Amino acid sequence: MITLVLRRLGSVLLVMLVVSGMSFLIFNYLGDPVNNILGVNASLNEREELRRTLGLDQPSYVQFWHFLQRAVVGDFGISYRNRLPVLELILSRLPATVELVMCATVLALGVGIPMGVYCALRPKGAFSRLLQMISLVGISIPQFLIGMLLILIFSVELRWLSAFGRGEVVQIGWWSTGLLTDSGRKALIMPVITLAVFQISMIMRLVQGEMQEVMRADFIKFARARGLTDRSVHLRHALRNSLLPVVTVVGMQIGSLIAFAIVCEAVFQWPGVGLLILQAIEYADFPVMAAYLAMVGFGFAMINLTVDMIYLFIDPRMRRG
Amino acid sequence: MTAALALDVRDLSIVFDTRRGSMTAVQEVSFTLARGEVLGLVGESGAGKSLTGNALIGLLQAPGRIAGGEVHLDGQRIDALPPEAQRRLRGKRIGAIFQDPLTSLDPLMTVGAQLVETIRTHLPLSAPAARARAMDLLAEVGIADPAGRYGQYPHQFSGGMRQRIVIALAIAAEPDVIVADEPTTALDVSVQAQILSLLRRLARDHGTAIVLVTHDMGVIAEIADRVAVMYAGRIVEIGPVTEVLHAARHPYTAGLMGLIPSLSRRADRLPQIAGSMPRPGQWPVGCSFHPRCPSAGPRCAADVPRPLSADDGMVACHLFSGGTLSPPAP
Amino acid sequence: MKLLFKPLILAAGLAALGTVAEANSLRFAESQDVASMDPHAARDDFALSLLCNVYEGLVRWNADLELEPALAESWEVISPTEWKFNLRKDVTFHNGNPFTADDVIFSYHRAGDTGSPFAGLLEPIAEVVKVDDHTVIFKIKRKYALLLNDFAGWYIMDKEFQESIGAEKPLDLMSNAGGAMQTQANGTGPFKLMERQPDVKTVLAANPDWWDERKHNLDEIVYTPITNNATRVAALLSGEVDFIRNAPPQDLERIEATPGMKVMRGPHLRTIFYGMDQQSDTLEGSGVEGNPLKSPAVRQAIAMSIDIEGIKRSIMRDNSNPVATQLAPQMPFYDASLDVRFPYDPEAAKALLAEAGYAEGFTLPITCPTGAFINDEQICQATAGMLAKIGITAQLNMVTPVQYDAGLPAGDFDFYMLGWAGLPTIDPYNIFSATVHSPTGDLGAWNPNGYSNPRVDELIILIGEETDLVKRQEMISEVVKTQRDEVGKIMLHQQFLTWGMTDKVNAIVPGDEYTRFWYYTMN
Repeated sequence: MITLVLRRLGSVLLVMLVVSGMSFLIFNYLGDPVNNILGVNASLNEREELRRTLGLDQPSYVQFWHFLQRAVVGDFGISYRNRLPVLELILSRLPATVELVMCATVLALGVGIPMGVYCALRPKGAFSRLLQMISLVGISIPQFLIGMLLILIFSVELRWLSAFGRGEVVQIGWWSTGLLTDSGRKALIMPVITLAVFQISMIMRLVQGEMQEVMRADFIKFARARGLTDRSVHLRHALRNSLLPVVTVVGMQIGSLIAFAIVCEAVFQWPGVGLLILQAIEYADFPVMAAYLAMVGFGFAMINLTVDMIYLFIDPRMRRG
Repeated sequence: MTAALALDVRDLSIVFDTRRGSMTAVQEVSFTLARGEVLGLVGESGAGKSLTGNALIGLLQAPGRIAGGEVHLDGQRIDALPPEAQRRLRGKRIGAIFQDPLTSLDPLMTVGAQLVETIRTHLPLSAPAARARAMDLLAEVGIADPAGRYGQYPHQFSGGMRQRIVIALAIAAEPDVIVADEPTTALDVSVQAQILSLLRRLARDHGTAIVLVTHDMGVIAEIADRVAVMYAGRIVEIGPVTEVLHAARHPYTAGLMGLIPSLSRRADRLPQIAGSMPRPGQWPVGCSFHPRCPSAGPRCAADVPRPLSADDGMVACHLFSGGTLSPPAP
Repeated sequence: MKLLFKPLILAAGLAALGTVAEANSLRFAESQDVASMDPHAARDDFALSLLCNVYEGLVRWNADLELEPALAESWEVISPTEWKFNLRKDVTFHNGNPFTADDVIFSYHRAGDTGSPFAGLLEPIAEVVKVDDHTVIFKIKRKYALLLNDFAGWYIMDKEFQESIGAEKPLDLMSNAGGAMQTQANGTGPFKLMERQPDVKTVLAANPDWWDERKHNLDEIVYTPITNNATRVAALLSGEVDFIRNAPPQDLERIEATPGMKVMRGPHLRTIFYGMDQQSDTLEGSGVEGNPLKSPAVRQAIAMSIDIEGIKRSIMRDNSNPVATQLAPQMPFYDASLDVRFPYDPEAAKALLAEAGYAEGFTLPITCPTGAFINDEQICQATAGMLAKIGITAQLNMVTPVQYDAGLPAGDFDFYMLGWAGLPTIDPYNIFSATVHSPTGDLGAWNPNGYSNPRVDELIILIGEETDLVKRQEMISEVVKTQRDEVGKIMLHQQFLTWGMTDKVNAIVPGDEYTRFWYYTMN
């Protein structure tokens, strides 16, 4: 198991290297931050000067080398847009996104799994068909639309919830949480739902499909032959055996949501990393993008590792060797 | 005699409800089983033997259903019980063993936990008591080092060991009857023999009646007391194993027996008998076997032969409807 | 841990209670956050339009965009290269420090030294001499007409405070020196910074010790960036914010139809036009020999093919004003007699093209930003349709604003949409020097390969120096007329500002888009 972890850590480094290296190649096509930094009135000489200072006049591979040299000692540079150290900036935005994604995932699991179980057990029931229809809508409806719809109903018409922001947050060390205040919790409602709709639908369909498959397995028939209660057969045996792919998908989903909850965060002005990266792209804020992409590479590799660990925990067959 | 019957199946019929209407798959099957007796239920695949087995344990899967007949367990009729009552019988009074031990166990649960779960579903035991019983069961089915093996997962056992665990699970609550559906088919020949002897020992020591569903006459010869031969949804012949093996009455049985030069050989098909068994829904009028029967006469294509009871057996064939149990000379 | 954050919750609760009270809190949402609280960090009108409420220059623009004294009480031109400024004596910074000549000199060096973003703006200044605590003399390198205009965009900072937080220099993007300015500010303006969470919230409070007479009645300004247009409008409609600048065009009707909401409009100083490559000998992808855009007749034909009234009606929904020159009517030295467009006449345009030798037309690559100007994409698409009618096949190339900002000055585009407002100088010189002068040295940065006329170049330099208003007007009109007659640009229109707000807010909508909150009141 230790060799597995070490091997994975090695590939984590490789992934980070490749991702951030590629990001420097892409920057050439993303535009020029100099204009945003200096304003439209800057002269050609001033532009050239700044370009030199920032090293933007160098070829991509030289810029990448400089980035690596500094990144090794934890220095990811200063954000062009926010004028703050990049690492500090990303870390300060991370809690908002993590909290949002975690709440959405908990909601999605809490709603999606029971829905999936129900549909798997009564695939032909009227309510199952309704749920399946809803999930089809949930998978195909764009997040932006869900978010705007919620805002129109709950902010503009009913005026119950705030259309933007995180509400009041409480700082605990470097972490900031909205879960401890009323306004913070209320602010979570709409973004969490927006983010969870797709996940609920996806988890539901996944659980349903897997469980229907597992329900046909011999050990389920044998569990019935042993006289176990339906509840035990469905939940302890069938559901548990259906969860492996769910864990994989949800794990990857959490990763991509943390990295790219961009639409949802933009709609609700959620001050997380998704919004940060969106604005960084619009501004050509290269230091933020480079560091961010490297961290995303790192994050995904770590999530892969974690999912593997969870596999080991759930499925004893993989503990061998 | 009747009081000692562990299982009494009377005129059991199974139909499948399909869009094109009902299709009969098992028709008027009757047999009895005494305590400690092993009855082999044999036939080609599609004959209806597994369906019959499933019907006995109440796990007939939709769209199949019992359309007629009765199943009595220890004198109590069980086929008409509500689902929950049937569930309570399963595992407690009527156990089951399936073909593939590799897939019969939940891969994510230790064998100990699966045993305890089964025991506590049926017996009012405390957790430690259930655990102790689980160990005893493991020992009883021949697992060495039960304490060490208790916490292991199915994948850590070999195929034969797993089938032993399946058997342990089946007998966890000391059922009166066990329906074993091809319990050795997936196993190596050497392991087969061990499992069969284990089953026979259980029948002897615990008085458990066993319905052994198989297509393998070799298995029947090794363990069964009596044999019921199924063809196209009906039992065509029942008799003591030695009699059926050596002096089959029904032409189909005779054909089957012709196939076993040695008892360890398997017989998946009946090449000596031309043609193949018709599928449910395509059964011919009259005796289902008549298109393949070397001795078929005009009557065979018109009427279904009625079962004819003998001293310790039964046969359903027009050859015997004259009243004697020896076939008329051709 | 509980003990640790309990006071924080309490504080948050109290702050929430505070806003419920009768205080006039103007909640203001924008599409993005300002980059920094440092007014010298960038010549960025977006940031300065907020920071002008916190910091002040020696002079400032009033509600009618006229220059008026601010931190300087008065000034006199001692010689063409020496200006004396008498500083206001009763001014203190928000932290209580008195405002003196030392702060002016400090701010000059901070903003104007080589490497600072404002070095270009303050380039004409050779030296600042302190006469006494409240008098300074600016020695300038040459005759210069726009010193006061430039000073309105150069804000004075507190020497002592800046030194105390280690921000004597504007932020260095490599070393992060001066990073403290992201969340701190100490100016002399009508509002002071109370709280700042970058990208989340910035709170300003009225400065009770402001030197000027207080006409506004705002107690607090809560500035919230809301990136998404639809969400920003929803925040206004739901009553969570009171004021959004630049309401999206498609939402104007909805805002106006909502009870208690209104849209205030005003002409923008920015005019929108097409610039083009008039220097290269070939036009790549045009399918014809040579560069048709070199021919004034071709350029005029293009100008005459554009149905600007149609664009105003169907795309701008009447929120635009067609113009013939780059000077908006609200710009100083605007000359109405020159503001006469080529008539919309596709037939005549076709004839012109034929005369120029392009009877068969040609292919024209048009580069268009997506979201830099109001309805930019739709206008480009409409233009393509109109050009088709005179035989020119437009090839649209849509680019994001940041790609556009990089590619345009680099000369990557042959025919492009551009808008220029002349900020923060608010003088034709700014427009000319950036977009009309031939690209040389510090001039013509936004006119690559573009319009070039030696006489016009010469006049532009003189306009920068001339202080006599009559002579200036003559020269400016000559530049405007020459460029118009030679079709140096293909002019479109002046944008309108459309600011959405609740009825409670009384705002002013100046042509430079600055939010001068000291003129605002709330009912």
